[in-house]
Amino acid sequence: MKKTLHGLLTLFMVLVVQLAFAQEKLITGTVIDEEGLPLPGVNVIEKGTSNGVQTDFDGNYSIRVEEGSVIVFSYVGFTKQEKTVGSSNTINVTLAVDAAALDEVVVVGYGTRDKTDVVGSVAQVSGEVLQDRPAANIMDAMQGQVAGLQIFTSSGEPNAVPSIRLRGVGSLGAGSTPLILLDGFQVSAEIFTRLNPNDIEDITVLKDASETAIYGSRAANGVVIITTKGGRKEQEPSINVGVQHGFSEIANKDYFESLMNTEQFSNFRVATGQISRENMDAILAENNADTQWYKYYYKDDAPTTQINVSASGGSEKTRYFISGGYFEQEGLAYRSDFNRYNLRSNLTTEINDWLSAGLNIGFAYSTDQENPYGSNSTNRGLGLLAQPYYSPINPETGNRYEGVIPGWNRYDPVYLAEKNPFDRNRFQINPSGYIELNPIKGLTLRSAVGLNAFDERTTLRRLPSYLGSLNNGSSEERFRRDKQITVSNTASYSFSVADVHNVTVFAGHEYQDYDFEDFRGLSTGQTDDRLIMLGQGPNNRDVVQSMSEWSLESYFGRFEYNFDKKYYANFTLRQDGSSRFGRDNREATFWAVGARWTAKKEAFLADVEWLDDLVIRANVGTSGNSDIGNYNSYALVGTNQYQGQTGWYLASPGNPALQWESQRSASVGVEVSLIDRVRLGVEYYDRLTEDMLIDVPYPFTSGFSEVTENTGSLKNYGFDVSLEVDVLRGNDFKVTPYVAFNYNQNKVTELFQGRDYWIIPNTGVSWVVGEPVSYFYPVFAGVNPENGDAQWYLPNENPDEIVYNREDPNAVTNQFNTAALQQNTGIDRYPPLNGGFGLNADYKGFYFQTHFAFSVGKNLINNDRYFFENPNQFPGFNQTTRVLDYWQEPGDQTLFPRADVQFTQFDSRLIEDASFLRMKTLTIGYNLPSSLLDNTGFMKGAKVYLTGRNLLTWTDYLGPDPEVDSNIGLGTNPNTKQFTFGIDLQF
Amino acid sequence: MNTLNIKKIFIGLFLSIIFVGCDDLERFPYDAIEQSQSFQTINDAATWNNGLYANLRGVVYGEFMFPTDVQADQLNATLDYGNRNGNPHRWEGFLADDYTLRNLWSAYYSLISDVNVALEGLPTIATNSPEEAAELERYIAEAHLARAFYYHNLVVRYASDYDASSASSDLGVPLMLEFNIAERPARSTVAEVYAQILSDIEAARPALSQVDGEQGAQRFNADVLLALEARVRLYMEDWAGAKAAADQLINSGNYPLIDNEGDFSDMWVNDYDQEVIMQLFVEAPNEMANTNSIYLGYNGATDRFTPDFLPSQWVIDMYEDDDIRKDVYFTTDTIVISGLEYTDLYMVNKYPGNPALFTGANTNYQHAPKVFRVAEMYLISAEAALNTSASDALAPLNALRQARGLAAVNVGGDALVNAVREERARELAFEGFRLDDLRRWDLGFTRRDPQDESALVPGDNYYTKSVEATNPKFIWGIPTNDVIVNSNMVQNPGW
Repeated sequence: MKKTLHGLLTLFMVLVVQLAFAQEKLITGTVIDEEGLPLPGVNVIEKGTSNGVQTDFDGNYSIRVEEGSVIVFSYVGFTKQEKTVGSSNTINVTLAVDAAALDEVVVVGYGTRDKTDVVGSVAQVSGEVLQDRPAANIMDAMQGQVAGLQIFTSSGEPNAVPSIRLRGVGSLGAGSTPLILLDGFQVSAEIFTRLNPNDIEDITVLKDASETAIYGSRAANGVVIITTKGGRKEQEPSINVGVQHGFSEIANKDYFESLMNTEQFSNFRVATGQISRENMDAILAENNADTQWYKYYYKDDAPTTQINVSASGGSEKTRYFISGGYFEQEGLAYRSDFNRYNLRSNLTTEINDWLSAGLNIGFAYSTDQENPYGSNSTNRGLGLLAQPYYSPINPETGNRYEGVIPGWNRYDPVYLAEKNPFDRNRFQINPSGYIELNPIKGLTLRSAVGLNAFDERTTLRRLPSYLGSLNNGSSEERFRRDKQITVSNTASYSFSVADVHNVTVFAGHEYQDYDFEDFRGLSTGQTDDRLIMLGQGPNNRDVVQSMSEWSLESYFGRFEYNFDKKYYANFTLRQDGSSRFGRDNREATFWAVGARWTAKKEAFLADVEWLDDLVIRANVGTSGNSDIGNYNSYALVGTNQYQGQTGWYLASPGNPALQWESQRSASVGVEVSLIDRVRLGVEYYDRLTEDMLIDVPYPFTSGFSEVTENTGSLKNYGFDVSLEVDVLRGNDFKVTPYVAFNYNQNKVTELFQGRDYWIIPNTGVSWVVGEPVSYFYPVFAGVNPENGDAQWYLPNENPDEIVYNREDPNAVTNQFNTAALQQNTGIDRYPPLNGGFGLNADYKGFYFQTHFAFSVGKNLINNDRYFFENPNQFPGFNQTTRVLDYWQEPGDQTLFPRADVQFTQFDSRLIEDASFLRMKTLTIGYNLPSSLLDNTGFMKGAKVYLTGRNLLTWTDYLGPDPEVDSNIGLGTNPNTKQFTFGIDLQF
Repeated sequence: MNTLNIKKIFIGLFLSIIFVGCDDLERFPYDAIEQSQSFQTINDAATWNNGLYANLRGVVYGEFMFPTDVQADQLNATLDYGNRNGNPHRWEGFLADDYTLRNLWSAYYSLISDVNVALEGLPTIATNSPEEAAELERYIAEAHLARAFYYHNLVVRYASDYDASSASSDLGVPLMLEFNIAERPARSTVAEVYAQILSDIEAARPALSQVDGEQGAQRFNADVLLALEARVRLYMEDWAGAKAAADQLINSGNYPLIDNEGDFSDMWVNDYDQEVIMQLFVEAPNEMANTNSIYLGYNGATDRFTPDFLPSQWVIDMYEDDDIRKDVYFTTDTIVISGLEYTDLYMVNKYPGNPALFTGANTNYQHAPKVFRVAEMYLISAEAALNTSASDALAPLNALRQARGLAAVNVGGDALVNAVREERARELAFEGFRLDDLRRWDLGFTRRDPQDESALVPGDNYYTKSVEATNPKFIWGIPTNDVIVNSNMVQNPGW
């Protein structure tokens, strides 16, 4: 392709420049950097023309130009040079590193900055980290990459969207997810499964108040900015093609292997008196299988594939990036998979020297299915209760039963999935465009519009051939449309006074509108699998429709000042108005102040050779949270129906005083770079959330059980640490380990109704003033070895004192009663320590990467054990082998009490340490050497690699998956691991 | 210069764009309206009235009916019952934070607050004609009667039995007569609650007596008012008043008793309404009621039944073979429990589901909830008579017995009392009356004589359980939420 382009150029040149032919000559030379190493790919262009070449792998070039013309040598990260063609035919050039340009340009609120000019704490992760990961959700690769950003994926469904938090849980009632922006415009967390990871240039996380305050009310929980690739100016076009294929398995099988086998289970049933020996033997005579049911509820080796093609490049004025991608992954449960097609076109251009414009458009078309049988269903979540002596394989056919599995008396999961199909497909579009004017130097006016919209169609059916409802099927069709449009207009003016005082003044206005509508049609009574449309069902015809919307309008401004790029200060102010709050409380104002001291630039540190960089920052500011329902402030009358006529009733009492949740946060941080190898960042922060939006409990006699009010306050404080060390570095090799983690403590500082504590009913979680959010449960005191009783510690008698844990071995009882025995277990609800570490290494063409993510101090109530370790509550259903350790005679020290006492209650035994360490990534790859590639003439790069995701998990948690982001884990669809192989080619 | 002019144009355009996108921030939902806007015309009143009945449909049957039967002596848990309703069945471990008692309490109070909002708003509606005024009066009356119904159910379940000597000091339930979300009410006495119930019935009487009763009525009318009054006065031990109201219904001749198995089965399967004083409207798929699904557990694919609860043998033996109720209330079929098949066990078949309401090929146990039926009136009349002039009990008792295929009796004294009680147990079995009846008669119970132990959950709290009449859990505890959030709320003893 390059040859053809060259050919055309040359031909063109020959045709046009014939007259000057006599004076044209061939100039050759070598371009090297300051260390003497050759620079390949440097643009060598005759100024003002399209006559250009690039240096080869050895830095050599040759170009035909007229004597007297100017040749421009340019390369990203280096200072451009121009040389006039004189009498000599050789021009060698040494390019110097452009310090400012080489440092990353970082995306911040409504703009970009050089990294050296950013005042607050901002973390940037390159898009390379996200590429080639066998997961539909791009944030999976971010787990453990940014200190303070905690990401948990609570399900192994391929379309699972992770939960994200920055620096702890910001609110006890409203949402805690950071604001997510795609190319500057707000999107929802679902975007993570709809983007092509290869389209992403980088993800930036804004952590500190001085950076987030410009986003005002939505930024109390931090800001995550996704920037898509845009190509580079003056870059030769390059085309990338990547293919990856592999398969998935359950990430951690320990739990699934812990159920009893036929021998253990049948003997246990007889020993505990559930069934007589004769009856048991009678059953075993007919059913003598030894089934491990998880192997029939979950697949093994489910395939996953990705294909990507992209092209990017740029001229002096325009740059572009276009791409297409395909992703597919089958889930391990039945009726579970995810397919996605992506298309993107990003274009930025300078129309003239004072006007530029850009347009990014991304399309995603996805189809997905989800296994619906969740926590409490014996069709998957509790399917392991199935007795091991029954089998889903029909002995006559050797295949699975197509219908009910005899003995277990439930439908075979494959049959169930086939007869109850579900298909959802979504067409999503994310265009964003802007026009920017620079009428005078330093003044930038920008007007931008962004859209996040999708249409989704879902089809649910129950086939008439389904034995559960023979010849009486059902069909449901749903349509949903979501639209979020943002219009923002900003103006920024930068100027310098006396060359050392640099000032930027920035102001803007933004308006956002979101609406969604959803309707569906349903009918039943279809009799034939081939005639399954809505009109073919004569019964139970129904239509349902719902609509909802919110809007937000804001004004904001920022003043930035720096003295000689050494001392920085900025001040931000923003006012937001939201439709979610009562008329009297619609608007709120937020502010922030930040300062930065680039200490290394001081004279007294200039000579300290081992210190490459030292930056100290501090900032304080406010932001708000409005992440509640759209209409909570109104007293509303809802509708129902009687005898076909509409009826009214009081649906919600409303709260006209409802207003913003406000947060004040302060932080200080230090960044050091030592001996050109060590890069360390440490930040300490303190967030106080006040006027928290909490669903305050009301007595049922009022007619309602809770009302959303602004009450109470919560504090989160802790520190973020990130460290990267170039342990080994040489010409051919590099080894760089890194670690990033956050330690966070939360503390409830005030509650509602003057309370000192509040136990949220039926969750085990409690808010205690002055303490972190904790678990309150009866505390198990062990099995009495003398009589096999199960025992619990009596809490302090005064109900106000149950916040103080009491475990007195002389004060125990064998009567279980949640209300009477619950007390502070001292166990925290939220894990304090989260982070990741890893290693990047390369040697010649080989590269090796591994990344681990961990969470320490995570505690989860294992609700699965209530079903699987409770034989007298669920007699006849399989249990785990742990129940074999039950009390039989005086003197026994066992896990479980006597057979006639309930083995498991909802008490502290179920609160397990779910801390975990996962090897998120292990990649080994090889970049083919350029000597090999040059032989092809057109390939610029090629690499092959093997990569694994979630290959290893270390945890003490006894349930299926410790990563569930909740207080309770039940019937979780477990996270998966992948082994894949891939090839990337560059042209 | 041209460039400058173009620049100016652009800047001008740009500035004008700034004002694009301003919009107001008022957003209202699409599926609800503001409360203050909902009491404007007589149509609004009619709409509130419809809402009242739709809500009433949501608090009868299902978990508003069977938990007390599960708690009582007539049912046994099968091995496949999966701990559903396990706590009420076992009594031990049945605590104040249980969803069973919380759902009932919160549902009734939620509907009471609806009625209170309606009673405040309806009178403010301007009417344009005497017909409209009469219509509005009727809506107000219906709201009063609904509130009486809810308070009656609450005080029977959550407060001590009515005892004339202590009713003015026994704690009843809190009386909310106005919508006020901030209120933290204390419990009124049992006497006060019953006084309020009777007062609401009286407030409803003038307008509702203009509405004639009819078989299978779907809204309140004069007969429904009498039926509720009879029931309330029976529990209040106002024997004369209860008998008068019940007899008025019996003698009206509007609801002749069914005397053949065909029609009787029709009543429980197809919602045949000859005997029914009030039966709420149900229609698939949008207007469905709660279901009593614990009794059958039918699996269409295997054509087998796996009920959660089976009746004890002594319950089935209460019915003679000629009793038309026996084959309607019970059935045998192939049952599968814990992998074993049983073909000769009786299941409760009172709620098999009305085929006209099925949403699939197999039953969904839906049928029109029978809120008041005339057989209960016969039994109220008989039981009330026992306490005034015992021989007057024979007429209603025998009328019912003979209609059901049994011979008349002619006994007196304790034998008559037992005959009336047994007839009530036979007729109203599994309709949610059993536990309250035992309480009213001051009786404990012993579960005994199960059908087949190998299909049932063994243990102390199951098919051999004995409960004394003084056990505090005959009365349900106030839900923990209210006890904690409302410091004026006093919990029932033993909870």
